[in-house]
Amino acid sequence: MAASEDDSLEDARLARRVSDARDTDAEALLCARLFPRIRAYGLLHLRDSDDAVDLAQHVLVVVIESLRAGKVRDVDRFSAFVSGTCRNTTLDWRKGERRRRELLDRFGPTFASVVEPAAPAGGKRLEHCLGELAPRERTILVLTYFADFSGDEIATELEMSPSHVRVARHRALEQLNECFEGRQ
Amino acid sequence: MIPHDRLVGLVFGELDDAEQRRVEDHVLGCSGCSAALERLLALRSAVSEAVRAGAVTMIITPGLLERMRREALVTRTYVIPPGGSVACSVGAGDIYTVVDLRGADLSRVSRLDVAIEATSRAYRIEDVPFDRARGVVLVAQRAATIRTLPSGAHTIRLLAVDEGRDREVGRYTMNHTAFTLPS
Repeated sequence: MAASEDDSLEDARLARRVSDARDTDAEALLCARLFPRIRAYGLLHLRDSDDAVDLAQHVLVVVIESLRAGKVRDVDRFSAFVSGTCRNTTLDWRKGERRRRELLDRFGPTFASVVEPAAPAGGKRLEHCLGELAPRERTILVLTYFADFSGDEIATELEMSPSHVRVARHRALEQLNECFEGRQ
Repeated sequence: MIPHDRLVGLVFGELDDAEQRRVEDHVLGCSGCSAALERLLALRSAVSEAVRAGAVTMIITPGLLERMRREALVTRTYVIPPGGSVACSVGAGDIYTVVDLRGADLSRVSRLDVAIEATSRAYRIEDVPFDRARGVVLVAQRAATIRTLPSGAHTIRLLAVDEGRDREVGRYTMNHTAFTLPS
């Protein structure tokens, strides 16, 4: 599974412009490209949209400062540097070493212009797409997201095996995704 | 783009450590994949909001009913025995009405459908979850929809489906009084 080549190559090209020439246009472009991806990573690990935005801003500060200072040794492997910074920051924050407020106070406004709202998922479209699901799959999603039941708890409630719950949940989410993309 | 299935595995912690790392690395380098991941993660609050807004008609379980009651989403529950009937209505502030269909022998049923015949329309909900041991099916209906129904008798039938054939295992009647705005 290779990372999306187009995105990674373009990221590395922009990173080189920052590293070699302190190109501010390249910095802005790079931030705009990376911000939503890091925010998605933050949502996955921190489960809070404000924390995810904070993480994205913090990581971008570290990445840009490192590029400017020539600390990113292998710019061709820039994506690995971003991944590592995301992981280390998340780990640090979990350990309670959260000096990020300080950093945000210093650098927060810098990236305000690249903050876009998270991808919309609700509204009438969601209601329509939920209505298109098989009843059992709709119940599984509601138990998962609204009631916060684990896969094992859902299996007990619905008298299904945990593996069948997983399969049904995957199928339901795939169908929702297709519905959102207008493929059904 | 990474297969959607892999992103679902990432969200629900179903991948081993090495695979999780590979998928995360990919997502951080892929705009389309990170957008898809964010959409998946946003579903948690979006689905919850839809449920709280009374927008989802669904077959529920006892655990889900308890949770909905805790959030005051269910204010009326009609418990009906097989062959029984109940007088029912809906209030202006109701969010969901739950119909508790019980007493049917579901012990040997593999697939169960619910057929609803109302004055205005008839429809069928296929392959619903049910409580086999207690013979219970719980239907949570949107109160907003019920408020649009005229007065009349609604028949609900539980149909066991075996090899494509229907076998009625329960019949219930709801005598509905149409909603009128309080004066």
